Amino acid sequence: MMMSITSCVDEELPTADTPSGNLEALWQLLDERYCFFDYKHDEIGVDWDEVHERYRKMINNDMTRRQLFEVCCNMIGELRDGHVNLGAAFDLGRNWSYWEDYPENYYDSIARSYLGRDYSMAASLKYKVLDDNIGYVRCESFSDAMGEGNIGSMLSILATCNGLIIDIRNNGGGELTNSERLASFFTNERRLVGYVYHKTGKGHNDFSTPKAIYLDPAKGIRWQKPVVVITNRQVFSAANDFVKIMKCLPNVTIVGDKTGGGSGMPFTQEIPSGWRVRYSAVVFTDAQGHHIEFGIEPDVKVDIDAADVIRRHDTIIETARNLLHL
Amino acid sequence: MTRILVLAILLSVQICTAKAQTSDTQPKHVSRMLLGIGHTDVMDTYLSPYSYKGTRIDLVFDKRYSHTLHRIELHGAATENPAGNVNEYEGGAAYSVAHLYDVFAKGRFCLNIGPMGSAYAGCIYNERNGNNPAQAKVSLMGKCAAMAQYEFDWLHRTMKVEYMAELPLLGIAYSPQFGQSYYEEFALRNYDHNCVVAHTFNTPSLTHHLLMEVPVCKSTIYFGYRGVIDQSKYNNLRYHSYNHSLLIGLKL
Repeated sequence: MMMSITSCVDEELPTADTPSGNLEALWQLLDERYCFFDYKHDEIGVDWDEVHERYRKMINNDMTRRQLFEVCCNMIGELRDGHVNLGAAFDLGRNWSYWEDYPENYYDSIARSYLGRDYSMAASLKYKVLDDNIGYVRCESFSDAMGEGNIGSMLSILATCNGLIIDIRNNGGGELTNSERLASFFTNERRLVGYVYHKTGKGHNDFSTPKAIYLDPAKGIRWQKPVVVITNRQVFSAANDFVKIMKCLPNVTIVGDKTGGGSGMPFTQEIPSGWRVRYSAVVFTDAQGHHIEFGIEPDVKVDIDAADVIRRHDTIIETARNLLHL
Repeated sequence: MTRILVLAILLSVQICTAKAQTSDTQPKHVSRMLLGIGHTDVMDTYLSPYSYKGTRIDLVFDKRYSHTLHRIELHGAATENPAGNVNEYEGGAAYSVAHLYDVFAKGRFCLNIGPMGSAYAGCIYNERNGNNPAQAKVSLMGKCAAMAQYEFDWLHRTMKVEYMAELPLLGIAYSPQFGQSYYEEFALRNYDHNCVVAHTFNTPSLTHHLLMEVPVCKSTIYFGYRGVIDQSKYNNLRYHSYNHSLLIGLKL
């Protein structure tokens, strides 16, 4: 008993603020806590032990801080996860290949020409009735709170429209509660929209039992007409989750490019240098239990046409309008 | 482990049923307020794998009616990580009640041992973390407490030295799972072993103090040392809070 009382509960990761201490701490931290190792192994061939062997050979004690940072960033980049970052005062390590390697499919000046200057705003949602009586809602982020009152009031004003476009291109995410709240205005019944589970230990497969996530309809006015959600590769994290939910609903069509993914909820930890380590810790899947970490395919795949850019037409918005008029 | 717990419980019961001896050295009612300032070392692996070090302030009010001790503790701490670029803040409040039986008294020395119940609620906040910014600490613990007191005369005054130690035996505590988010717990209400059985072996902790009681004019002051070693290993998450403080106090 006394042995137990006097035993220490202490650090388990390397504590030395040296090049090898930091790399080892980073590798071990992710090894114990990152939630997509098996999926990344199957999809892109990530072997985390092999990554360790390869990168530890690049470390020597004469490295500068920036050189160490670069090696560490390259190592975490192997996971190809926009939620895995290394943050130092002088830089942010990231792998944004999920959108950098693909067409942008969003031109801010063209998209803004649809809103003009006389648009309205409900919290962070910008909206307008287009000249063909289609409601257009621009949702740039789910970071800012949007209340049921904001969304309900906006939909009341747009109620006479024939259809609704929700443009979430370049929406990098934010709060899941915001994306769920917006989606709840487009269902009349409780629906299964996905599953969630988390790590319960340090093993790559130490996971909790997946728990179902249901979407409950919002109270008050709800949208009953067709909806098109338009997407591109920069739709990430909570915005990716919004697309996952909307894809479960009737009268909703996803138009544009595949989303960027990012279905792991990120946690933050650190290594001895004090650099912030962000990593996916909690897994969200779709209603069939499939991973959406690498994005969600649209129902109608459309890229912005170069000729349309010259005419200052947004091909994806125009496709959405045509679909709503069918 | 079970045998040791049973032995500890039996010892407490035996102490409770033993004929209490009344010590002349103990006043019937004592109330005091103690202020502690010292060094703290906090690690909670839900927030960071490393120890954060800094300063902690404790405020302790205790009131003793004969053999019953009531105590309210408040504490706050500000700490920073080893690299010195992130701060963590800890705060908490506890209420404890103990019944201390006289088990030995000889001359001006007395030893009291008894059961203690303690309720604690607190929080650690890391200013940099995103979806795991804070860790809630809530527990109800049954403890074993022991207090030794010795009176002596010095400089024409009667002074007293007091040592008290507390060890957790059995209780319940809150803990998130290893990688569970608060979004799952509170927005989705997904339970995953968040209420854990806490015992001596997964909560190897010790709170103790050494106090000198000195009468000054018509009042009494206290000074001494307080050590709080809180540790836990729940749901593969590790926590420690090592505190060493200097105490000063006043009889109320």
